[in-house]
Amino acid sequence: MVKKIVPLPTVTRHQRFGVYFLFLALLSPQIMVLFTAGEVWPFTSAPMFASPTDRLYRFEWLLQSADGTDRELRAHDLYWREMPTMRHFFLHVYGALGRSPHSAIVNDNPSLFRERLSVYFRSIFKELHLKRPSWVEPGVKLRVSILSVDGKERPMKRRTVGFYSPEEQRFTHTWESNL
Amino acid sequence: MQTVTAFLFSKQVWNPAPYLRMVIVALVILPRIRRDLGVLAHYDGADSFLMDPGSILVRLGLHAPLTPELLRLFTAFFFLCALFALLGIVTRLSLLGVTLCFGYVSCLLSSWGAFHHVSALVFLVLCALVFAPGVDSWSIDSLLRARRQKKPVLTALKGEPVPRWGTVLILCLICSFYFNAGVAKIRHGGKAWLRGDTLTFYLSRSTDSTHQLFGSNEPEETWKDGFGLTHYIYSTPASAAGRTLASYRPLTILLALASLGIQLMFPLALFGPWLRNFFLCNAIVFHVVSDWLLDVTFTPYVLMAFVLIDWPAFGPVFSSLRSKRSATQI
Repeated sequence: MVKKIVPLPTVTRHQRFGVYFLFLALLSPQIMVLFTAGEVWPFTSAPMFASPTDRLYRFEWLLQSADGTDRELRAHDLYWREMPTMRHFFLHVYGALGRSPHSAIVNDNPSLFRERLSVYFRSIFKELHLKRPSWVEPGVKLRVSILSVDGKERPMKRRTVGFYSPEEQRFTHTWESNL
Repeated sequence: MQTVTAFLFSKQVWNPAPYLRMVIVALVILPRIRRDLGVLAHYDGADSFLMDPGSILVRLGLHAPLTPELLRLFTAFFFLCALFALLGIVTRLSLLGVTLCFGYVSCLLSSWGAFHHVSALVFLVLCALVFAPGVDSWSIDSLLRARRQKKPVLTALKGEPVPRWGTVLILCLICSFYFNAGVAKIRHGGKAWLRGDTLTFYLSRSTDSTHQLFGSNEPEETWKDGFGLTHYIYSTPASAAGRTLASYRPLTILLALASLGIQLMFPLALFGPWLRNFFLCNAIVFHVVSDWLLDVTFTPYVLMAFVLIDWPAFGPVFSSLRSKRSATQI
């Protein structure tokens, strides 16, 4: 059934341009992210990735006190949510590797990497001082590791990336590549 | 251009704008206000290095978290705007207030690492609704107008037929979201998506992990860690039905292809009431199935799709069914 289109008797120029402007303002950023494949809230390219051949990993932040006791630091210990905190850490601090669906940090190098992790963990320790003061004992260090996990998320292999010392306020990158 | 203008400004029989206003405010925004603002309160005073507020908030100078006093004031204002928008008191202005508050909260929440896909489309639809013709029908405003103009109450509540550009704009926004999602599946997944591998991966995940997982498909040797992490993994614990489905490869491929096809062809929903209804119904089925199999909940999308269905298009079908039934009874 074809409906007959009956235009309104009076559509002023301002109304017409106002409506076109609204279409342009709301739709053009949506079309732009389609080409850039990025995400700037509320405009999204809605990425979906992963494959059964992917290797799986998770980060582990371990607080190591001077007396040798270890305690895993999780986002919820700071009253934050795990998923967004770790995604933010990965995307904006740690940095994804080259061919990634996320925008990788441009021209990343070991010195920039150390600097970013130093600033980030400085902020984390500031939060720890406020929310878990008893956890920040003298001589405590934070070990950043990556655990390789299987399909059921059972740990298989651990590699230590480096340590952050709150006293020196510095992250030391200890992983040495065989490259 | 004239044809487009004539189409956009032609009157529509069914105006979903006021129903969308009520459904979004009552079922999406009001239940979330306390929860979302409660999350924000935990980030109060945190260093800016711990978040990425996004270019929009930075440009507006609104990227700093709210102080507890401001947060209380903001919550009261947000709640009042939502209540007014729902009941239709100073409808457009209160809807603008809701839109800005909701946008601000969702944008801040997205600054902490997880992009809020659900609230993104809701926010854009709200932006369109603020300007959409007839959004203030079924409101206290329209009741007061009826009293002033001495019109019958029901006629005044329903409002006059309005131009269709508001509905078309909302449909365009929805189409662009689904189309982008379809393109992304080809861009990031490519053959893996077409072979059903990506879907199988998510359907096979049984653990309800509390850890954020990361994936890699690159060679292991890198200067950073020797693992070479490339992407994060979406947290979607599959249901028992999902895990069963993952073992039937042809079904997984069929599901992957069907969802991709629907998403890529979604812009066809703009071409006529039947195509619109077909794609909106498919969107509802798609989200219900995703929720069932993967625990990916997009309830606001389902609600919006349901309200946007061109219900009068079913009118002739119902009347022909009714006449057939009465004919058989005779």
